[in-house]
Amino acid sequence: MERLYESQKLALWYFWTAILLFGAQVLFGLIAAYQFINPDFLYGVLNFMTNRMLHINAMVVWLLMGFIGGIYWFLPVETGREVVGIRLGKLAYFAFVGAVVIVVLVYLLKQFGSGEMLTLWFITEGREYIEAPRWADIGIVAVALTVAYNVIATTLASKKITGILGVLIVDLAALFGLYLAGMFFTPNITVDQFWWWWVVHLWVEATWEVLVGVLMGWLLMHLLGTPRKIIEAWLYVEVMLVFGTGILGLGHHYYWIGTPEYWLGIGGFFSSLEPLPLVAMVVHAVYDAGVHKLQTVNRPALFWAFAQAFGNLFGAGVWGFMHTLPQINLYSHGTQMAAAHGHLAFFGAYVAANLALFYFILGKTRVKEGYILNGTPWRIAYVGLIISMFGMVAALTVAGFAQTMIERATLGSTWDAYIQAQMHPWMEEAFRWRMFFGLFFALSYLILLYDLITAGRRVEQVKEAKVAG
Amino acid sequence: MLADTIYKLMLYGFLMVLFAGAYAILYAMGRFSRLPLLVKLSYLFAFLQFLSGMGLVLSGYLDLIWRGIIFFSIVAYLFIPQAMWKVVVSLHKRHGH
Repeated sequence: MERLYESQKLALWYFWTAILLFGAQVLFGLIAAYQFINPDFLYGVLNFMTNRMLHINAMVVWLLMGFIGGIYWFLPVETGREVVGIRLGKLAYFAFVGAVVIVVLVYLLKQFGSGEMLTLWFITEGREYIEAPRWADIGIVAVALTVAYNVIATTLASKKITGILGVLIVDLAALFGLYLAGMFFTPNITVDQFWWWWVVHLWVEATWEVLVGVLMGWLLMHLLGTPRKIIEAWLYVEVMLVFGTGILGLGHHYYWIGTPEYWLGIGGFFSSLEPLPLVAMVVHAVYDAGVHKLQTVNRPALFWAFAQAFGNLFGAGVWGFMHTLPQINLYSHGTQMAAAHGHLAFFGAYVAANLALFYFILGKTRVKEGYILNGTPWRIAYVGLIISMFGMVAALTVAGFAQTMIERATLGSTWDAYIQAQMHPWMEEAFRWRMFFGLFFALSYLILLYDLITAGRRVEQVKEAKVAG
Repeated sequence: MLADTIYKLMLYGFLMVLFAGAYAILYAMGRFSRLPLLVKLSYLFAFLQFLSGMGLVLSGYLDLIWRGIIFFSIVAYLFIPQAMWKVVVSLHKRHGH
């Protein structure tokens, strides 16, 4: 085991916080899923709108924390020195965690009352997915700026700029810059939505994808020994494809918000090309799997890395494309179809990436040279999380089909049509199945948590390592 | 009638990308393992991908420009796994990995 840089210790703090928030996401998701079946459950105490908000916000924050942890882990390795502003980095971590606690308490305790400028600053901004009040938004930007400063200052101090660091620096500039687009108040809802999507889409489908490309590149270099030149060349191809299709793919969110009609064409065209980089990534993943015959000193990290490539294709590609054309999206927009796509896309692209990084770091901190990080619990959690996620997605897809076909295409989107679709057996059955698979997912999360706490410390792992050694 | 059309369009779109992915995975596996049978099987999925895409093109619900875009996509997806395979292999060869 190597001696850790302070920055790497900070990375561990970020990862453990992220994993706990992952648990919070699952918990609030379960309550929200049950409220679909029994709407009276916790009504007036913990309403559906609050649960849904916490479920999604927890996900955004934990994934972001995992990414920041990944940057703080690999940055000193890449530059060969301690991170320049490590004390600032630690301060930003505590500020981040403190802000999350305060925002969650406000979500739980104060969500009713009159809406004015003061509420926008201190209670909620009211924008879906990024409801955090403005003071917290400023905090998120400050944390992103701190990370960007640390990356740039450390790179300059080391006098060593690599291709991966170059891509990371440009991406971090976009990461904090785009968040600003969701922070100003506009009374016109079309204008407001226009900028809001810059955060929601461009963050997720452009800057996060590239950030994950950087982190997975570092992971493959250190896990499989893939040469830097290959990683960097591939990263440039990926950045070109992701930005080339993803930036204007933004147009598929502009169909129905009041923007000019040409967005239908732009959005549809670039969205139909968005699965392209995902198919390309799968080819490379199969090649890498073949070269290494799935053998490595850290099997969970490798398997989650492969799950990332394939999950991205299914979640973002297959489930995204089926309702991305405007002619279809006119009927499926805002139904459970979008929820199905969102669940699988985030799980495949980002949850898998974070878990691969976390297992890699655990291997580095707990497993001695020549030993293997393996075992049974991670396999159970791996299979359980993937199966239960596909189960939830399948159930939501059926519900989305019912909404699209019955409520929208047949009955014409009236209030009565909405009620009829909600009470249709296809919807009711689907929500029960989603609940079942949600519980299955929660159980798999607990096994994952157990494995993360004990990985590298259990007796059977040491035995297996001796046999392998 | 409309619901039936939308249902078919969604299904064709879903299958198109699903088969494109299956084609890419099987093609790469077949080439890596030097199993011509697997490569041939991947072409079946390439054909199915093309067929699903043609379902969208010939549905009669989409305008000419959209049919053109979809047709361009399904033709492009026929060559992506092969092109990416060449890129990946040459990249690894050049750097001795």
